[in-house]
Amino acid sequence: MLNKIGLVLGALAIVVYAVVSFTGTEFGDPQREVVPADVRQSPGGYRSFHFWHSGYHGGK
Amino acid sequence: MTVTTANCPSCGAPIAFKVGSSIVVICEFCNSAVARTDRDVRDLGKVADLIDTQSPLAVGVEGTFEGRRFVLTGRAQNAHSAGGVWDEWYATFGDGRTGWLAEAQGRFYMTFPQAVPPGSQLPSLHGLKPGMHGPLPGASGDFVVNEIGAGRPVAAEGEIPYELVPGQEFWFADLSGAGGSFATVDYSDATPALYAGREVTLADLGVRAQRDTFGERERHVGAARLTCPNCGGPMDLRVPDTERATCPNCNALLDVNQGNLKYLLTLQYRGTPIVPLGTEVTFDEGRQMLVGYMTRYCVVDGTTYPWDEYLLYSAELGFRWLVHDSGHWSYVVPISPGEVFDGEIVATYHNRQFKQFQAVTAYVSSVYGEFYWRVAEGETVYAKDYVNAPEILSKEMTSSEVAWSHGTYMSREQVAGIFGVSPDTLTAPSTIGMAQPNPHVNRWKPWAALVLIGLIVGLVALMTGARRPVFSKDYVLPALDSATGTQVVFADAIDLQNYQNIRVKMSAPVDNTWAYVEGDFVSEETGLVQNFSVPIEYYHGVEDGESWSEGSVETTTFLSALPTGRYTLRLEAQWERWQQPLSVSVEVEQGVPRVLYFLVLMGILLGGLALALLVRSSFEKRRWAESMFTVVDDSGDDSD
Repeated sequence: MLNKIGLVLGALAIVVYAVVSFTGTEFGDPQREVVPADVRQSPGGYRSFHFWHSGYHGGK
Repeated sequence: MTVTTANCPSCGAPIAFKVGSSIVVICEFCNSAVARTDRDVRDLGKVADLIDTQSPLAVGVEGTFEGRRFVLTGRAQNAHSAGGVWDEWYATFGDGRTGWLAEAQGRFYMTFPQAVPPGSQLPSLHGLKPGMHGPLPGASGDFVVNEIGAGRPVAAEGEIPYELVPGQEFWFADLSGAGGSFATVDYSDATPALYAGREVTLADLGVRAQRDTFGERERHVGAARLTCPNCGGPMDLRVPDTERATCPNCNALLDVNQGNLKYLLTLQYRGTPIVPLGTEVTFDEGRQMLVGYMTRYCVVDGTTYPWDEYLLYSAELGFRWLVHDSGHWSYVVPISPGEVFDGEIVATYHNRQFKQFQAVTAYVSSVYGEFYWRVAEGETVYAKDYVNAPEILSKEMTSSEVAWSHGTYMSREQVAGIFGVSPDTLTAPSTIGMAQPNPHVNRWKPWAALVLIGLIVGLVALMTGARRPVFSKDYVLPALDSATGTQVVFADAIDLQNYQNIRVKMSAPVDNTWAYVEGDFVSEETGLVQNFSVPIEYYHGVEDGESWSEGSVETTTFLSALPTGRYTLRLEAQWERWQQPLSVSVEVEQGVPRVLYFLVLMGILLGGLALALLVRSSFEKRRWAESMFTVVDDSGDDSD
């Protein structure tokens, strides 16, 4: 039984590896965020100093 | 011109020598063995009535051997010095040649007289020992001495191709070789005579059994009802060649001589067979009857090890054994010694090698039922077992005979199923049986397959990765305003592809100091922001005379693939020596093969494989820990 469980986990490891390799997935990615549309559409948008230090912190 | 017809010198009845090579004819009326000479006939003495050995053959039966027709023209029954009788049939071929067709315990051997080459001589009787092997002059191949014994003709019928003198003892040696070859050296005369041939089956000879109970229709062994001479109780004899039987009523051990019972002694101990004797059971080979049960033991280092043996019989197969030892079972078939190459440490049978496991003196402690030899309590043999699980080779030797058998392991559940009893009624195994199949023997195979699959997947992933640089730039960041200040730069827009990971590599000439860069990939279309951070620090020095270093001037981080699109790379840096400008090199690549992940995968799979092999090896070590011989074997006796 333990051997079967081990084999299933081994097969799962291959699947996970394949998925990771062929989708370009990495483990432990920092969080992703989405810049609100109103910010993107504002003059200067996310390039402005104000956006990064006062309005939006990019998930930091 | 020899006599072809005459009158029996004993009773006067007419007799005829129909076969040119016949020397003796048995008078049908008075059982006299009548020999012919050039001028007349003479009486060699009377033979007894034939013993019913339930032979499937009969005088007059025709058959074919190696494409040549023959007819059975005579038969002699010889009494073995160790008890029992065997039939010897004389096959007359069209060219006048005579073949000796010996029949014993359900097996048949066709042999022919062989001329010994000039200058050669057969080994003397006293120069032979059971188990010896070597060539025989006049016969091809190597032979093993199976048995050295004596016999005497007790009954006969038909025409005999030699001068059969009733009751006259003769010595012989039986030998066997590879491929079923068989030879007998007859020491009746001053000059030994060689008969060589091979073991055959009735099918080989194209002979149809002469008893209606033999052949395609399942045969039930007939039982002869007798009365115990000790207690007067009824008892059945089920085997035609029985030499010893026990009374089920009084437990008397009886000698069986041609159907006559003679009381020998009362047994003190009677074992307990799992089903009553006389029960018919079906093994893979066919239906057989349980006719005998005996307990045996050996003593090793002062410890007694008992085991049980069940004797099975069917007319078609002869005798088989079912051996039970500490909850482990083996179905055992006698084999020809000539089929085994006995290398002492390793025995080879049918191209399979068996390693020696134990060698003991085996004692018979009790008997129950019927046996084809004169078994007695206390009987001893030298026994040696060789193992290639789930098979076992056993060699048993006495001063006059060597016998080999081939056993196949059976589980308790299999035996219980065959005998129709609950497995719980049978002793549970408490140790690893010497021929017990290794349950872990094949567990490495799926792991090996996974390793192979993982290797293929990994190599494909590593070799087909679309590694490509997407951005590379060197920056010189001006000094900061304060220690808590930062410098921010925005790189030109870069195109990223989905399904390709992102590697960001940054380097800075830090020397015993640090720099810290935070970055973001910002999608210009969707606003998606992927943040990352890259600390760069490198310290080194000398302490207690030894140099040391920590960190690196280069740091790499990986990010998961982002949706295909155009992204802006934003970098915000801070560094310890804020008063000085900082040079930073930034490289971004996509589709970078992850060797680390591959190594982790292979580590997992190879770990599983190693564990499977370890478990298999551990089982074998525990098996061989029970052996008298130290053998390091982790092969698992892989029979596949």
